[in-house]
Amino acid sequence: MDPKPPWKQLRLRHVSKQFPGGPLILQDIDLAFDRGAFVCLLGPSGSGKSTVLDLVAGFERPTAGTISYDEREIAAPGPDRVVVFQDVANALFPWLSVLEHVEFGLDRRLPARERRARALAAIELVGLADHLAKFPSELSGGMKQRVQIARGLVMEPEMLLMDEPFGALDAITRRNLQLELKQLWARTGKTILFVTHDISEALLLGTDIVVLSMGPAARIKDRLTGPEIPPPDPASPGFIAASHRLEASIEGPSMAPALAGTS
Amino acid sequence: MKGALRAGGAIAVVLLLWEVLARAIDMPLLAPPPETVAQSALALAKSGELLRDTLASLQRLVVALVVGVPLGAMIGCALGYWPVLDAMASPFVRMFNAIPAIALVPFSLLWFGVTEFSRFTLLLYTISLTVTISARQGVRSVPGLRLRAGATLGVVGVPAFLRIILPSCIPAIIVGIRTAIGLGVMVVVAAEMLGADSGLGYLIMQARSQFNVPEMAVGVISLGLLSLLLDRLFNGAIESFVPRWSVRRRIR
Repeated sequence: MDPKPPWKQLRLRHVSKQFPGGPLILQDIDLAFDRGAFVCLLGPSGSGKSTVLDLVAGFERPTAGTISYDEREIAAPGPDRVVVFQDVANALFPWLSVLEHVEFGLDRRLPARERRARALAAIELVGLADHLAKFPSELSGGMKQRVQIARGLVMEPEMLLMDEPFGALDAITRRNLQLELKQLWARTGKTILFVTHDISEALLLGTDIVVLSMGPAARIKDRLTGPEIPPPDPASPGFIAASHRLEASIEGPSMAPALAGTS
Repeated sequence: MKGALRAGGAIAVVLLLWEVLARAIDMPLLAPPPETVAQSALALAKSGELLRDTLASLQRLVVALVVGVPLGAMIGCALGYWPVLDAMASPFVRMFNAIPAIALVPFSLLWFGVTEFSRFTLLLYTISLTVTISARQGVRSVPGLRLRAGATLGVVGVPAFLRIILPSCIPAIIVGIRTAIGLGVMVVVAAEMLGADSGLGYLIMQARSQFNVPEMAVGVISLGLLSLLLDRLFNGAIESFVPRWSVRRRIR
């Protein structure tokens, strides 16, 4: 890799978001992340975590503030920031096989042979090599998420944006995919922005954990980074202490002045 | 196999009931028993009339489908894709949807006379309207997330229309074509009854003018069988040419 640029890769500057006629969802979110970080956005449901992800993805524009990525402002979705969606039933294309899904986003001007080779490599990475010709209706929930991850990775994105990707999976599949994702992250060095409401998932995966307050007008409530993140052993005292801290900041009274006085 | 056996049993029961009823009524000229109708069918088949008229109706239907399905699919996709266009067209689409082709027969006879073209216009009206409505619905019900999934992979604009929206609405268009085939059989017969010199509708009307009830029955049953056969053929074509959109794959 080229030497680290002197700036943060992803930067949200005083970002607020309000949909026309709706309540203020995000208020004054200020965040910056280094290349290669595994950022977990944690918060109660309705806190606007997914809205942060939609803004970084470029699906939505902020009402105030700016979001920049390698010092360029984000204006539209693009394959440098591939999204892995939670609602896998609608995120996949029912008429395409696993292999066709992974080839879907690749530039059609590339020779077919190269597209095929790159797709196969990405499929190999997520362990679906034995299911190339299967259609989404023939895949389990976990396999569908693997397809989404491979479909994103093949684009060689700078970032992977994941919106509660394992939220709808059973506990065992979920655990396996968490472990594999962590390995994948370590191997590929991608920056990952991962939305979840599961504290232990955030602690197992993240190198940065950002807690959003309860909406409306969600703010950043807590942030764990670097040495504050315990080793990924759920039985260790450090892990338990950290999860208590996160639990308290998710459930505890909001520090946001906008909400002071309400209860 | 079990299904075929059950269907065969049901047909046998209906034939038996028919026989019993015909005997009870005992007016063979007005209510002929099955064997009389079968004899009549055999005679019509031997003379070649049955084949000629069936093929005539079939040809009209196929020609109208070949023109009407792409036309309807294009109009429907356009309406589904551009809300402004849809807002302008939707009163007309709704109104025409409530006007059966048969109500337009007097117009087509007046404007185009008793010609092949006048029958074609009626069929085209029905088929393209039916496919328009289903294609429009298909485009409108593409999940928004599916388009976001494309956008995040860099597939937007015209490629997104061709590679996401169009394939997404193929199941709806297939349903529309099936409906259009069923309605088309009805319209082709109505048009033939009101003015034609061939076709199953013509055969039925000819038989009526000669007070030949068994031949009328042959015409009507052939129509039903033709419709059934077309539906089977269409399903078979979907299964073998576009298997990924077949019902068996249970898309959506």
